[in-house]
Amino acid sequence: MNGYNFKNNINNDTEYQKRGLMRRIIYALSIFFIVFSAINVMAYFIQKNSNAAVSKKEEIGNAKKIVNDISKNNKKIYKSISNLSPKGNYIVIDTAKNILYLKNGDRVLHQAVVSTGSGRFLIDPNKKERKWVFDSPRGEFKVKSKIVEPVWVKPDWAFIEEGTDVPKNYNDRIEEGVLGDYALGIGNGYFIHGTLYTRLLGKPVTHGCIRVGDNDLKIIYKSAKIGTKVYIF
Amino acid sequence: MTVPFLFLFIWCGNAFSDDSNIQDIYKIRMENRLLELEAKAAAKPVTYVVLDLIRKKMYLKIRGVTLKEFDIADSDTIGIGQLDEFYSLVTVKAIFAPKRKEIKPPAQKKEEKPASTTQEADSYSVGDMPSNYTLIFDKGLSISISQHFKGGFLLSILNYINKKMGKLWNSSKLLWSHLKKTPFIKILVVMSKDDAHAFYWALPEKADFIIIR
Repeated sequence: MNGYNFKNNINNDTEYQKRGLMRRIIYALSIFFIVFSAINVMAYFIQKNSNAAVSKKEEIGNAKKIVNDISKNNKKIYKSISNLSPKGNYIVIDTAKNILYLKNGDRVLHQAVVSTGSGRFLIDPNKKERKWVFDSPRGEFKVKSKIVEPVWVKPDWAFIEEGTDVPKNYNDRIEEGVLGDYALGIGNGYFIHGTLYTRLLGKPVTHGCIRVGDNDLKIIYKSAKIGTKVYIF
Repeated sequence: MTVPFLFLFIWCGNAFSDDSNIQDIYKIRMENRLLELEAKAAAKPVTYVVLDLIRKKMYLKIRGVTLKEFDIADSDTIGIGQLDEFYSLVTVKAIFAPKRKEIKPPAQKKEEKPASTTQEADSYSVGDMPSNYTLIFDKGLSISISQHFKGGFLLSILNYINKKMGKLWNSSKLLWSHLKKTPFIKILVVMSKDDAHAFYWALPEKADFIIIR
């Protein structure tokens, strides 16, 4: 009798524990649901009341005139924005995709795979405060110079990166044939130029300049004038 | 064509002009305000962002020219306010923020060679950018960008849970801000993984944002 009762108690305890756990889960979910709903409902009413308070009442008699006046003003503003857009050909460079677009209005005249800044940085081992970040610049630029058969005047970082001494003689910095047949200067030492490393086109590997393949560079060079806008993003 | 959505706004504005009710005035005033903001942003030679929650698009623009268009899979706005002014980006918070890689020059001197051969690998590319991050602005605004999971049923449940939990968290923050009487507007934007990466990459520092909703 006792044994039976004992066994039955064990079964009842296990069952009780299971039910207790289920009950707790249901309680927890209910509380979560109630809190979730309450917070959302309160947030909804706060937003609704606030936005209603912002709306301003106008005199209905003047509505048509007000709408007309604002419409006219809107047209003027739209025109002024359109006037800021570039006239003629312009260049857009997508540094995420490493693609250069030669455009006129909304038309894409030519598209080229390019290489842009690697985003890496270099610290001068001799002067730790000297640091270079090799990003392509972003924003609005314009073609400031057009060069045929450009030569590269190597900056200090190029020697430091190679682990060689920075030369004192200017002529030792000059390197021919590495920038391709043409270069377009966009300011601050940045150029759109050719490359020897065509296998790297499409990858962000440069020190900030935009490298273009020979055939594409020829088209871009011929289409761009001094003052042509260049947008880099 | 460079500002097609604004053109549409003007067209809408004209269409609405025959109706004389308060709602129309409110709408056209908003259009006017947005155009004024865009005119100011376009006057500067830097990129700015137009977040159009109505058409579910994000535009990266400069001088009124759209440089890139991003699709928004889903969005939600929680908070109080009209969003009818400029918002300047203060900082971007990401759990897995990308780190720049350092170029280690060789210790020993070697023969001179053409530049650009050393950095063939390990560049800092768009794939290294995070797909979940929060843009913090002035005036109490923040925009949370998260990745849209594409795939089977389980991933769509994940998207749903992600959205609901985000809503709960931000609703709680809204209540708290309301009690503290501080401004709070949170925009939740869900984008494809590639677009989220590309937007982080293209995001200019201290960019101006214009929000249409």
